[in-house]
Amino acid sequence: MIRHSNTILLVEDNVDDVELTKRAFAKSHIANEVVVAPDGQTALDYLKGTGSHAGRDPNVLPALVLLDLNLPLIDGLDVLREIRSDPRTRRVPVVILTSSREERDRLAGYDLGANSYVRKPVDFNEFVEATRQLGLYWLVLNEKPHPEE
Amino acid sequence: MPALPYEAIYELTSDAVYELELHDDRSPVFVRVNPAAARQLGRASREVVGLSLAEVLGEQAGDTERRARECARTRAMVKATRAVRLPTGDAIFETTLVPRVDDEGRVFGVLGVARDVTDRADAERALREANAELERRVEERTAELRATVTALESFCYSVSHDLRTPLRAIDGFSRALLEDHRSALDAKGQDYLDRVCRAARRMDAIIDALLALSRLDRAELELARVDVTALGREVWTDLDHGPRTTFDASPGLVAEADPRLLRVVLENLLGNALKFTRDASTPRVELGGDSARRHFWVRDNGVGFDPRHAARLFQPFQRVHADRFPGEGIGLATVLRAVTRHGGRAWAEGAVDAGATFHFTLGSAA
Repeated sequence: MIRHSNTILLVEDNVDDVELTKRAFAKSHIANEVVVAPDGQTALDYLKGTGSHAGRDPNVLPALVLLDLNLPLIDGLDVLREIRSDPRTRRVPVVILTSSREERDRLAGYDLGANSYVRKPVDFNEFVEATRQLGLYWLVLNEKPHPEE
Repeated sequence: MPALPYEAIYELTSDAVYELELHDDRSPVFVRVNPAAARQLGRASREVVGLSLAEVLGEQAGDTERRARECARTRAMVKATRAVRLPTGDAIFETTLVPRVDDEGRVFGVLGVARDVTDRADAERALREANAELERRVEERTAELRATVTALESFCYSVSHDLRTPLRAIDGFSRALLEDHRSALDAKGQDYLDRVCRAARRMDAIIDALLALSRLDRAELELARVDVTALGREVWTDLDHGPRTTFDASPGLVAEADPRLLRVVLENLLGNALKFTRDASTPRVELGGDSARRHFWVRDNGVGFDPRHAARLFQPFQRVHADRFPGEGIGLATVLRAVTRHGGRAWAEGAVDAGATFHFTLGSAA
């Protein structure tokens, strides 16, 4: 049976952004485990229990996927397309978290079934606030599609 | 004045005039040839008269003979343009043949007038070639332009993404230092980090402004009839203008314009007017214009500017009052781009401490 852990899968290739996002989580009192996938392939491996994440139970989905768009190897939008086309992962909440303010990225993200599109602000205080709201909504208020572990 | 004899025209015209007698069993025979025709054939008139078409034109006679017979048969005018090789050189003739009819109504020959149109034909061909060349060059340039626009788009895309990532790190880690290691920094060190953060955020705002500017160039122009007075009032209401400043928009201003671009123009001009009247004792901003001339202006009684800088104001990043007023220095550049896209122009009038008037047109007078 498919179920959710309370893990956040952070798909982000920039180590500074990873560090800042973790700091923003901490400042927002989000204590969930954060698994970092530095590229699209690793993200899909985690979700499917393959490759670098071989042996992980693919029936346990993260509580939330935070997805950057500009990623090495497999682009963020392709990762999203793959997540939505796999019956097992198609309902996992995916929030696009990106620097891009381009309308085409936003529209493409929504067209491919992203649950939210959040722009990473340059101002770190705004970033913390955005993270706090994201965490409150997706980890606390939102009813997950599958039962939690 | 006595009538001009036809004979004189026949003798003096530069068109070749000739008469052919038709025979059933042999090539048509020249019975009359004017001086122009003789000149073109490179012979004297009297030498040509009595000779057949075949004798004079050789292999080229067939075509003329065919048309002469067609003219006689149909009893109608036959016109043709064709190249002929003559002893005097190659030429293109526009030839008109008309039937010669006797008193009994029988066709006994044809009268031909041939005009040398070589120069005109050459000019036409040159024009056609020039047009084709122009067409080819336009296509080439369009392709180049398209490639440039595509490159520009991908450049803007990476600017929006790649430049912000390090900025976020600069801001975020500076704040982390201030928050986690404040005790290790004296007041001066903390001030420096504050400055780093402010600079990062300012650069973020500049990137936004630059992207907005480039978006202006990329967007399709969608023209509609715009109530400029209403749009101006709307933009003013959206500005954080406070109760001190009075705003007056002339009633009945209308324009044929892209409403989004016109809004950007007014946002920038009214925003500037508000900003630069900040310190005036009775700040006042006006929106006026002459709709028929597609000419509008925004006037304020603020700090004004040195008229020597009037042209520089519209260049990006030129800030005349950088020390006293905040901004990215891109507002008027944006205005200029937006009105240029309408085929219009923008200019400024003002003096130091005597207010400023910013004019723009949306193309030539309607």
